[in-house]
Amino acid sequence: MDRQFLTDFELIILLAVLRVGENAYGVSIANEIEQTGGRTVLLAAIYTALDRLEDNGLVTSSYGDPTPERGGRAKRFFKVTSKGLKSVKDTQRSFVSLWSGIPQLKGGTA
Amino acid sequence: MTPHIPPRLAAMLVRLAAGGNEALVGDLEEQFRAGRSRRWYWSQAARMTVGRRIHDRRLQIVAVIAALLVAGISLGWWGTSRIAVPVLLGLTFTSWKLWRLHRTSLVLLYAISVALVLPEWMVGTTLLMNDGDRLFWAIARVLAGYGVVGVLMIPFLILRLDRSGPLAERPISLSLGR
Repeated sequence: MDRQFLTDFELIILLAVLRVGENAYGVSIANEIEQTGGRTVLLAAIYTALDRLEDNGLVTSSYGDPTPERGGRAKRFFKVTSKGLKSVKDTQRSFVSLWSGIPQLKGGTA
Repeated sequence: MTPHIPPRLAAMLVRLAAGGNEALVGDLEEQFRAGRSRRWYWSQAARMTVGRRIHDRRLQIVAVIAALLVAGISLGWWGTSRIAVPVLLGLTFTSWKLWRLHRTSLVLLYAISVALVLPEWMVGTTLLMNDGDRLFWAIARVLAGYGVVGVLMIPFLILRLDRSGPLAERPISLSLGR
């Protein structure tokens, strides 16, 4: 079944994966969200959301090589699929539609 | 130089809560070795463990039933022993689980329960004492009573600060349908 919506957290993660690019794995995604979004995130919550996004075909993942600084564990890299990119664009359009035509938001800062 | 190794117990919790997600365990270890504090690592481990348990549907059902039993037994005990602590523990546990089902009902249930149980325990029996003892025990019990409530509120306060806790706001969902 195709999902018809993204939660705000899923959207943030998709955007972070897109911003980080090739090196998008748990730590780099969390750092990106912390730096650009100004919010701290639980790494486990990121993986829960990423697993859900992967189940829905919005991201794919692949494993890198194990490294000593990770206790011999491999990094799991994520990439946004074309379906994921479309979801992000659709969400952006939804936001823009919601934003437009609100009189209180016109005419500079409040 | 001693290697920067995560706390052993917290690392064990992480492995258990990660449920085979080695990439997540590796990410946490990498961040810890890169300079994150022990407190940060413990926080991630604790929140992972709690989060995993909270989101287990079967466990939620069992916990709600257990909570209702604890509260029921506590209230029965209250009828005979006049000891407030187990009653408050039972009510707190029940309320916390009910929060998962209906958030507003928790506040009402907890507030009403505490308002009904606590004052009676705090000052009820002191009315039978003589004047000298009455004031001392009334003050002592008021302080002890609110101390107990304060301690029991700590889990709520901790979870209130946690964005993913049961007191956190649910994420909004954006419809993409046209």
